[in-house]
Amino acid sequence: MKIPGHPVSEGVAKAELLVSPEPITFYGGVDPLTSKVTEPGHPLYGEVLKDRILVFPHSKGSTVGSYIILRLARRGIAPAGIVTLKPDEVVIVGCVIGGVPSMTGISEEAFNTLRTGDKAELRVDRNYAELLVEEL
Amino acid sequence: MYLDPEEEKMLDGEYGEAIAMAMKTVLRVAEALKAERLVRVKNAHISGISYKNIGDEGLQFLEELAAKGGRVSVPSSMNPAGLDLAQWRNMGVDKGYFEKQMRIINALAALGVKPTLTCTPYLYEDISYGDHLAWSESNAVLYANSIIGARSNRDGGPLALFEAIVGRAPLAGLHVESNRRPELVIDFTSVSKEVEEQNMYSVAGLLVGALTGNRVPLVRGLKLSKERLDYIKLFLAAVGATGGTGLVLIEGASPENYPASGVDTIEVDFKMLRETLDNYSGTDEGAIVLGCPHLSLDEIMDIISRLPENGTATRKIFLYTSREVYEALSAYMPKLREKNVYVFADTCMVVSPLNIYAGKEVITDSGKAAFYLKAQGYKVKLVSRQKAIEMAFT
Repeated sequence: MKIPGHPVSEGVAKAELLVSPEPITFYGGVDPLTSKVTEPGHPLYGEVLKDRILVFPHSKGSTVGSYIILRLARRGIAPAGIVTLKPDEVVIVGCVIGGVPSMTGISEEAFNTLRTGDKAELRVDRNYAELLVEEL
Repeated sequence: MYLDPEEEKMLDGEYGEAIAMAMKTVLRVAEALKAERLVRVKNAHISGISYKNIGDEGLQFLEELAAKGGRVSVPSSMNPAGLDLAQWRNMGVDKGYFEKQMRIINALAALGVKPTLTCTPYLYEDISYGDHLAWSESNAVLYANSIIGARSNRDGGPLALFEAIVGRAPLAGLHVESNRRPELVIDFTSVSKEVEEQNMYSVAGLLVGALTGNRVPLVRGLKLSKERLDYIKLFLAAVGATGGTGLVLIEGASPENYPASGVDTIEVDFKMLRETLDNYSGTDEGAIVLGCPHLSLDEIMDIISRLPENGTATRKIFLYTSREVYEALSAYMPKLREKNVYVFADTCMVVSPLNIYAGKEVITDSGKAAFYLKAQGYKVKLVSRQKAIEMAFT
């Protein structure tokens, strides 16, 4: 299955998906030293973002979140890629300055078909972005 | 996307590497937001100042940008840092942390950002209705949009810095009037009296943020007006903690009026407020922390007027504000310390090492502080400001 999107930050990532039905707070909700989700009650609580393509609707909370993505990236523990439903600046800038491949604007329909553990490849260049999900 | 000749030159590197990098980042955001062009901004506010938050990686990033000759092109202010620049030794902060924090502030100052170190630029900066801004810090963005009627998106700290450098932001999101209209109504009419009497504006804000997500809500039935700046600040900051929106249209307080036709209405009942508050029941132990967002001079004078004439607080009360307000209050400091009340400037309870100087259990009137401190593992009790003061003197 090929899911088109809008390019955010260029690059290629091949990894398993980690899908959150809920928005994610990077500042205060993700530990920049361990890459773990720490927001109590969050559906991804305790999950590690490293080496996974993170899929979620959009981010929420403090705008310091961009720096959390930068910190994860410079430590080598950022998500392999980030895919969102709606563009938001915290994620866009965090991915651009951190060099994390990212696209946004996938359809709600496509979003609903994605499952944690699906194997996928994210390909983003300046004018083109797609997520290729392996068929079972 | 349309770029004018000046913007093309910035992108092509004619003004140096830092401006080219800033323009490239702003463009990426503009493309993703489907902006047709950029818009000139009047003022910028830069978050992501605390060493505790941005770490060595953020520090390196800012020093690299300053070394490349970056410089802001519009008046720009700084969000709070990880410590009080004058009293950091009293916060249990070690010298290494202090020095790293100063390197961040110095790198930003080299980029031309004023070291104001407050999250309430709307109390100090020259901005008015209709101005386009490049602001970060969610409570500041919410106040500028919702109460002043200025126009800013909820920028990330580094994006606001890049926009300040190029003097422009994407003409998208809340910069465009058609995106400022209500997408749902949140109606507090049936609980208006309880919210007012029990001072539940922080709780109401946490609830609005959770209900609205990224949508612009019209909030009806709250007795919020510009005369109660303290309530408005707490309310909007809490919205910013749990929600992604940068604008809340508040009936009676927001300057913009748009019809709310054809959108859903959510009626808030007391159970919803109660359930929100129950997340922050904490314990009755611990220090009192007030000042998220930073307290204004009027708010601190009001707090001082509520302290009992005689006696000392049985637990420490920490107040957080701007350097400017701190200096205006300097004559009161000895008296306040006698009462076990301590005022810190340049920082706040969320970004300073609170556990070192106050412990892991705290009481606050701020829904935003409660949300972020709880996520950091603190036990937090959320109460009204009056109740917090009473708890300290019993």
